[in-house]
Amino acid sequence: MRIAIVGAGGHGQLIADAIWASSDTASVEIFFLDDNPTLLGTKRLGIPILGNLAALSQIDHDALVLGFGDNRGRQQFIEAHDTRGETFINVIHPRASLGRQVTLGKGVFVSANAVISTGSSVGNFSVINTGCTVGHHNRIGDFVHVGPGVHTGGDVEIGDGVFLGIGSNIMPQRTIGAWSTIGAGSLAHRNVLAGVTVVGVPAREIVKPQAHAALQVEMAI
Amino acid sequence: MTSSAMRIAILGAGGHAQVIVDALRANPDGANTIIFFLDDDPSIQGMQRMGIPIAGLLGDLPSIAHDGVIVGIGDNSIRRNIAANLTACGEYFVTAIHPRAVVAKDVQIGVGTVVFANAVVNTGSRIGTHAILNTACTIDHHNQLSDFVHIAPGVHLGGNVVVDEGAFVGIGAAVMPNRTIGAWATVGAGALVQRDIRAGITAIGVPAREIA
Repeated sequence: MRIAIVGAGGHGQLIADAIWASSDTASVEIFFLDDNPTLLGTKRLGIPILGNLAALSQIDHDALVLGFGDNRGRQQFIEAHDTRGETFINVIHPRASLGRQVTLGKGVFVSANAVISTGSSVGNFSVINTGCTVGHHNRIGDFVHVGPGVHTGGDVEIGDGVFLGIGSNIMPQRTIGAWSTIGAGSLAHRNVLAGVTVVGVPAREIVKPQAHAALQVEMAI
Repeated sequence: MTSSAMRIAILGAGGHAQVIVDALRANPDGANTIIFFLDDDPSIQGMQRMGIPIAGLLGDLPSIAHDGVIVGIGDNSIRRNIAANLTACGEYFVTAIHPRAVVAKDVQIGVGTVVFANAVVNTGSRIGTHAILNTACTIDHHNQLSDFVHIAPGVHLGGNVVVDEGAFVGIGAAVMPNRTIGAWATVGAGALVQRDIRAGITAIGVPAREIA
C-alpha cells in the first residue's frame, strides 16, 4: 500500500510513525507532499518529500492522509482539491483504545494512548491526539482537533472545527460550538458558543468570533 | 532493555526506586534480572522492599558485583550529584522502560533514564540522561529534554518543547507547543505553561506565573 501524507511537519511525521507502528512495515510505502520548496527532495524519518500539494495527482498512491494539525488547513485542503477519487484512511495507533460502538468517519487520526469511550462518534478529518480521553457517547464533528491530554466527560457534543488545547477538560453533557477554541489547560464547565475562544479555570471568553482564527492556527502544531 | 543475566543496582530504596523496580520486572526478561537496592538510611539496612534486599550504603557499590546502575532518586539535583560521581568512577548506567510505555522507534533515550507505565514519547524527540518520564505523561513530537529532568505523572508537553537540564514539571501540568523551560526551573503542579520559563525560576498557576 502506497500512502501519501500531505504536510511533512511534526504532525505529519507523528502520523507516519503511527502508520508504521500499526502495520507491517514492508507492506506500506509512505511519501510526503509539502508546499515548502526547501523541503523538496529531502527526507523526514527517512520518508521522501516528493513534491508540493499540487503534485498529488501525478504521483501514484492508494491512500491519502492529511498531516496538518491545524483544523483550517485540513478544511481548506478538502475545499481546494477535487478528492472524489481519493481514499482517505483512518490512522489509529495500535496503543490507542476504542470502545464498543465507536464510529469514525474518514481521514481520522487517533494517536498513542488516546481513549475513545463507548458510543462516541468522530467525524471526518478529525485528530484525537496523544493520551487524551474522549468520554462515552460524545459526538465529535469534522475537522476537530482534540489536543494531547484532553479529557472530555460523557455526552459531550463538539462541533466542526473545534480545537481543544493541550490538557484542557470538558465537563459532561456540555456543547462546544463549531470552530471554537478551548485554551490549553482550560476547564469548560459551561456550553461554549460557536466561533469563540475561551481560556482559564473555569474558562472565560476572550476572543470574539472574527478574531479567533489566527489564534487557532498559532495553537495547533 | 536488560539481558536475562543482568545484575542491576538501584540507588535509593524509596517509593520512586520501587516504581523503577516494578518497571524492570514488568519487562519480558524482568523476572530474570537480579536487582538490589543501596540506600544511605541506616534504619533500613538488611531489610527488603518488594522482596529485594537493601544490600548496603551507596558507598558500598564498588564492593557488590553488578552490571548496571540506575539512580532511583526523584530529586533532580541529588540524582545529578550521585550520577556525576559514579560517571567519574566509570559506572555503567541502564534505562528502565515500562513495557506499557509508548516510545516511538526513532526516539533516543539517554542512559539512566526511566520511563513509567502509559508514558508516551512521540517521534523526533530526544531524552537526555538520568531523566524521569513519570506515569502517563505525554511528550509530543520533536521535544528535546535534557539530562536530569523530571516530568511528573500526567504532564503533557506539546510539540517542539525544550526542557533544559534539571527542570521539574509538576504533576498534571501542561506545556503549550514550542515553549522552552529553562535549566533547573520548576513548573508547579497543575500549571499551564503558555510562555517560556526562564532558568532557575518557579512558576505556578493557570496560566503559570513566576513566584520565585
